[in-house]
Amino acid sequence: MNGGRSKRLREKSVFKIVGIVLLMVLVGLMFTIVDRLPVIGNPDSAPNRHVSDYYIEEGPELTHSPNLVTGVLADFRGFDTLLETTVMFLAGVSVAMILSNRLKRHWDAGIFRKDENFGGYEVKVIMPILIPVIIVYAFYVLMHGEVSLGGGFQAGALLAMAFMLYIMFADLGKNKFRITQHFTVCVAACGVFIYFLTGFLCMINGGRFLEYEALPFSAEHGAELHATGILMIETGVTIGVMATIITILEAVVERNSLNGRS
Amino acid sequence: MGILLIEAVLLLFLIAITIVIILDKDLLSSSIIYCAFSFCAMVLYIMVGAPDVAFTEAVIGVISTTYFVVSLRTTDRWCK
Amino acid sequence: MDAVNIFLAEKGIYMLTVILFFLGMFGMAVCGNYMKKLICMNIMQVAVIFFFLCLGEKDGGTIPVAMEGAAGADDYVNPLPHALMLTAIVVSLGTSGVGLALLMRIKEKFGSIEEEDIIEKEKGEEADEQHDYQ
Repeated sequence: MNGGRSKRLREKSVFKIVGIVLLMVLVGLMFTIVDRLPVIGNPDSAPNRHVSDYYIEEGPELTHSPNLVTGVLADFRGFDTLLETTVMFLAGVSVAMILSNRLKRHWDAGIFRKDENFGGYEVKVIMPILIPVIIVYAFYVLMHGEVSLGGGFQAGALLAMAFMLYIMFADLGKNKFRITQHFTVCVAACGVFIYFLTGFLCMINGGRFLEYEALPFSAEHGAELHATGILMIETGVTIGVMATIITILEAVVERNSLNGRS
Repeated sequence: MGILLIEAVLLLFLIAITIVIILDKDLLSSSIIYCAFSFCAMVLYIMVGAPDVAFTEAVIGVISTTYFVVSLRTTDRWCK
Repeated sequence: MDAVNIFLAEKGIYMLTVILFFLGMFGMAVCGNYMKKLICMNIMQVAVIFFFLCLGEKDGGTIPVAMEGAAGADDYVNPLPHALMLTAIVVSLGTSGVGLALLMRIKEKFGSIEEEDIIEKEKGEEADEQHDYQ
């Protein structure tokens, strides 16, 4: 037994030394290639030509959004964002499926121990002030995603963070309505559906998929419809991201309770 | 030149935090140090001129740290 | 000496990013604990995202929000890498979540999340199966 253990320690340190040597060799290799990378800060280097100039110069007029990043993300490259929201939804579905088998010992365990109480007066006074401020800020970030920094991803993550704060500190025994991971997965699906719906609305009115000029709302110029379209898809992204984050959290917390280690 | 110096210092700080994470035996402290790593990365993103990405990294870094800490209750806290 | 200074100023940041990336990869290969491998995966992701954002820098450029004073394409930082990296950060959160869910199932089935213990337990199960067949 002792011989086996010292042999394993020797193998492990040999492994680490080989790892460090390989690391230095690889880093040295990469240093020789750094010569060919573009110069940092050069406006004429290869990544800064071709399409980016068009996005910067024509972007604010065509997409009616001064925030160029949101314009690129939600208008010029809207299809990428659609599939990214789908990937987030799939991650939520995967976690809900992986963590939903029930072993024999899980059926007798209790969920959400009701006698745990964090209630100092700091929690009772600070949390009711903090959580509404975060929610209002999240809606501000969502609505102002076109004009200043922000967008759908940040707003969704902020909303999920407000919910996380609530779960950590509230007395959950008083809730009759438990938000489980199976419910929030459906909410995430609604978010992806809103995104697809915006695309199909454009097709119904005679345009192409996600061509915002053909949305069936009335506006003065065509560019204002772009702002409406961007707001609709950002709402879809917000709901999808928020529900996925809450799904993963709820699945992990419930599994903790079932294992008896809450 | 000044901005590049600050970026280099921040990157060295990130490398030091990585070495601490690899060598640490306590998984709970590794997760909390990962939160500091995310904060330094956020400042680095602002230095390069990407405040949108920094905003997202700030929020997602906190959520990721919470995931790691919450899932430590089921898995072990100490590694060999 | 001037050449070294210029080289460091123009491309020196790439070298530190490469060191960070390969350090994360080293941690992923060498650490025996699965949770630490997940944390090192996130470290590699930060290195890659910073590399992409470096490619979009411009001297004298401001943040990519259209303002009244500046009008040319040379006054704004390139917004295309920012949009791609926003997506990458959020997707990496989903990846970490799925990895942690798998970790919890592994812990319940094998009893530990160290690589050596799991390999030994699997060898023990294989030996038991061979005994059954004999």
